[in-house]
Amino acid sequence: MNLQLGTFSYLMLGFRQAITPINLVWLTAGGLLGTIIGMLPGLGPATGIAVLIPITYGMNPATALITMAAIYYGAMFGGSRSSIMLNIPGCASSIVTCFDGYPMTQKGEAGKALATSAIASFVGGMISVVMMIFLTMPVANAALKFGPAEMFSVMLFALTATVALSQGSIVKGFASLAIGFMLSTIGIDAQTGLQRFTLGITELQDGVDFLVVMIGLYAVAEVFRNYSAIDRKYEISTKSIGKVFMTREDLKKCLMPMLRSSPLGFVVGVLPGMGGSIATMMAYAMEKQISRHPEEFGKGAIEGVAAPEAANNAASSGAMVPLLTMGIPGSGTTAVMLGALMMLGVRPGPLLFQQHPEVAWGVIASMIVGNVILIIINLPLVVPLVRLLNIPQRILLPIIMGLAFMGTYPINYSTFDFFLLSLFGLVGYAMSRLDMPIPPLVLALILGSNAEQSMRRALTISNGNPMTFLQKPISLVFIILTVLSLVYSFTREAKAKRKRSEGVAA
Amino acid sequence: MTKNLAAGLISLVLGVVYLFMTLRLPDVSIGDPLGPKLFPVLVGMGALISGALLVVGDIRAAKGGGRQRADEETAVERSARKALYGKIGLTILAGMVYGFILDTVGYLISTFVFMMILMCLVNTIRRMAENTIISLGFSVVTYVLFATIFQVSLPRGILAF
Repeated sequence: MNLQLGTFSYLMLGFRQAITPINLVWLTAGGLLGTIIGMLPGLGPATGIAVLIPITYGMNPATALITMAAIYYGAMFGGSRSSIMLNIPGCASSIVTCFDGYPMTQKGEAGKALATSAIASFVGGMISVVMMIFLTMPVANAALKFGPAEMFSVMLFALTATVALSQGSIVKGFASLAIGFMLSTIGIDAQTGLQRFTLGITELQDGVDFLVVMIGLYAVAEVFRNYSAIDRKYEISTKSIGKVFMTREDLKKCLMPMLRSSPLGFVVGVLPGMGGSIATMMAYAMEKQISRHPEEFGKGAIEGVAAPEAANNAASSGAMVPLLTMGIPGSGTTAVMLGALMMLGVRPGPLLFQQHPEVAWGVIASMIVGNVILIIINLPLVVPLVRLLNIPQRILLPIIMGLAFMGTYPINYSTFDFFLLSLFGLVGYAMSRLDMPIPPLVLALILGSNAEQSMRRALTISNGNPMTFLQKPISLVFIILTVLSLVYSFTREAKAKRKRSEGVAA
Repeated sequence: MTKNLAAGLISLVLGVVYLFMTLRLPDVSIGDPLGPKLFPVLVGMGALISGALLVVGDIRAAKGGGRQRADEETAVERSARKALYGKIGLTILAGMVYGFILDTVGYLISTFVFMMILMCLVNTIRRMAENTIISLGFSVVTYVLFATIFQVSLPRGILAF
């Protein structure tokens, strides 16, 4: 009872913060920018936030966090636009929406599909925020009691799971993780003052600036990748969209899929390394399985749009939980958000809830307001917004590159950063050519020094006995989870390999 | 060279170099003596092991004949790849020039120059009017936004106002 009363009054505190005029303006702007970013193919939420980091420089922490969160879930609203209209996903979380969204367009039901995706996004967003409200306090309170040993084990689990649970080669993921850790150790060691791995470069004494690395890996590398398709053009006729609305019957059909997919998406979003794309696939597969007419899936079933769209929005709220309560991002996008916040001097985590509840709860409350704003933006304005898909790549790419460079400069007012930015643009491009995942590197870079300090502090407390990580119960649980996620991922990969070689033999 | 082999070699070499540098770090007398080296040793080992696994896996796949042969690059693909690398190289060069002139000539002019190079590179020289409008618009709009809303001061350089 007491706990719920506390949560309620904190939520009210959050609302007071969320509805200040300045925050409302940025909430709307962030949501709109996010929708556009999500919509444009080749520009995902991580890239979008990396490019838009400069807008947060003059902001107070609450406004910055509210704006970035709005960009993130705004992108989930927007991502489905190009899936539905062009059969090209706007970001990874809207791949699944192509399966039925585009067939609906071919049947002349584009307007209905767009309305469904907006409404499902709204429902997914709202349900997940409610779940978030009840989950954050207990998690933050628990995390408050974590000592260095527990903190290290949680980070170890989050990082391992990011590699293990994501798709693609696991060994390459660990290589990427190791490279991120290497970068995080560059600079002066906080505990001993020892200079490590600076190669004698003065600019590196304070370490590699993770914001510059992230803008390089996400924005610059993204533009490099898209250079190969400069002449790509999308022709959209907005006339064929038709009326953007759902009938009562459609709503009835979609209600249960939305109610099932939202909690699923939320839970998947909370877990590190899973995120929107896996949430949408699971939601889609689940709906297809329990549907009475599974044969319609893939041919324009409206549930096939509603379920993944509710799931990816719910996943984006879920991903905010570990970020806010423990300061541990579980994906590239939340890592970029963490980087931008640290630049403003804010470290999310349990202390944020204790010392600055207005910031932590302001964001949560703003997500309720933001979802309402986004559905208002997305239903009537969908036609003019979709027209933005006509912007040619050859104009868009230089602008993104320009934003990346000009946004980097004010971080340190040092043009040395342009060199780092270009370097990591190349690194990111090379990594994607070699199919090496980028998020593990980014997460390791941003959590690396924290992980190292926690590990050393835990070892100092235990007089150098490494068993301390297994003797503390909470730490032990996370170590076991780490091992389990490793075992799971390696058996999964071995199974896939066996299947592939059997396929070759046959 | 396959992707796995390349990724493995990179990781392996980085791991070895990094471990070597770690072991050469001076010993510290204050604080915990093992401290500043312990984490890097673990990380270096991680890179080394991941790299080795990738390389060994690739060699074994090659022996078993299970490795997919990369298709031979056609002449068209090769020229496309060269054009792509050219664009990337020129973009980085433009970025360096930008950094070199930013502090002296100021934000407005240097940003305009940078955007102009990029626009000519990507949007071709034929659409000069479009290039000029976008480059000019970009530098002015971002400058004004930064000066007013975001309150970040950017170097004014020779345009002192």
